[in-house]
Amino acid sequence: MSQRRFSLKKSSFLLVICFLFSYSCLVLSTAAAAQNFHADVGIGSVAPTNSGYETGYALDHAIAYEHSIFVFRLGGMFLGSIEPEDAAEDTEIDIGGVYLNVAGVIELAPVKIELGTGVLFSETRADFMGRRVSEESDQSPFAGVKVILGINKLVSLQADWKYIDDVTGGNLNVVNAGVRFSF
Amino acid sequence: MNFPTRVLGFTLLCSLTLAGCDDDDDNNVLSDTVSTGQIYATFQVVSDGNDEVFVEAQLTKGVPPTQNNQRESFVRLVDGDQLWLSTGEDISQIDLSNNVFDGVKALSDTQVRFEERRTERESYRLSFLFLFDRVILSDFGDSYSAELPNTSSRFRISFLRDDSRNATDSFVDLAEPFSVVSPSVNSRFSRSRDDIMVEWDNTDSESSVEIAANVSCPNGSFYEYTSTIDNDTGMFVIGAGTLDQSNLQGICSTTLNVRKVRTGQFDPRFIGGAVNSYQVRRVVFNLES
Repeated sequence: MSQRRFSLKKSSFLLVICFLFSYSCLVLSTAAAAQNFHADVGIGSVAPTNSGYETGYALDHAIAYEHSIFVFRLGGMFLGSIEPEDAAEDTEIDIGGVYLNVAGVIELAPVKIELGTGVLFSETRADFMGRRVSEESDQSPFAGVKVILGINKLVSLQADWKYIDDVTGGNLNVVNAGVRFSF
Repeated sequence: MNFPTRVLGFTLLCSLTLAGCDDDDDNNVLSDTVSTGQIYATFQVVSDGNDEVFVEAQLTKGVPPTQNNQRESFVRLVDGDQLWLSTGEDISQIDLSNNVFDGVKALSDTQVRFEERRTERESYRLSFLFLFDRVILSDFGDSYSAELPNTSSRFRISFLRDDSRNATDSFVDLAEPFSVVSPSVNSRFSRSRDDIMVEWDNTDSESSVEIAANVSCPNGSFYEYTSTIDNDTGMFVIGAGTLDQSNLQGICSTTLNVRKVRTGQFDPRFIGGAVNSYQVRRVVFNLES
């Protein structure tokens, strides 16, 4: 019963995110042309909150559109080599997927802070001692914070943290550092 | 001997040496050349009551493994051919679906892939006599081993293949844990005058029991006694004088192994097989004249 309630809650959340993103795209399509586009790339680590797991690596890249105090982002992430502690050889979980993200931007010179939420559409693959034991798709809501420090008009440094809820049974903390190119 | 003859002789010697090396590899049969229906499977599950259960496996072509070093009949696993030990479902049937993280962790307690033993059984068996001395496997040729936590009584051995039929239905149950009640550790008996009463608890109607006593004396003399009883009655008597061999002198350390043996079933896709489990306990006591 509680699992069903949780599932309904998750579905409702995903629906709201998708609606917000669709609405935002509609607004943007009619907005003035002179706005900021960004390309973000980052590398970092992923740590499941499930006990007994070691840290894996994370890769993140995204295209973002900044309008007023909002940023709308379409990205891809890969979370790899997530291994149980004392895991047997060739035992790991890899997660890849695309995400949609909406964030509010707060200017705190010299940095910008983005507070956002979104949804990750993921594909999880798990191998145990070299044998595939799961290949599963999932949609998971996430929340995150990004801090951006401008170097010049084109390049900024950035660091971000995301908490992704329930990716095929795992809650993930993802931390990335990287570069933003603005154009 | 002139120079060309020496060169020819040297070349011939090298060729023979290399051929010898090749022969060593050729003595094993690669699994991708053997169908499941041609393989004889021998599996041995051993528990000494500690945290891990040890399992060994040998695959031979057509016939059971023997102790006469017929290396050519041993099957060496190559490509995607694998042996798996499990206390639950066959690994090929497992799908963790949406419980990947907890599921992968839990698999460590119930599933493990066999690893190839690079040294011949004979070399490590002597070091761990207690665990590995029961021989239904050959001490020579390729063998495979695996360990799992000692938390279950039923063990499944699955043979998973790339290009031939899987054989996933070999099982054996391990007898309930037990303790040797007598003789007690470091007790002392006369080889010639005393009956040695061996008693243990948790009798098991499905097990036969093997009694083995290894007697080792200060003068280097050694004697091994074994006996098998078909029904587990909880007791066995080694009669007075049975261990009184003429070569044994002084106070001799005696290691008594009590093994409860159960026979399991091998997958009918194999041409034949043997799947045995051994619940083993050991007591060391002393024998004097």
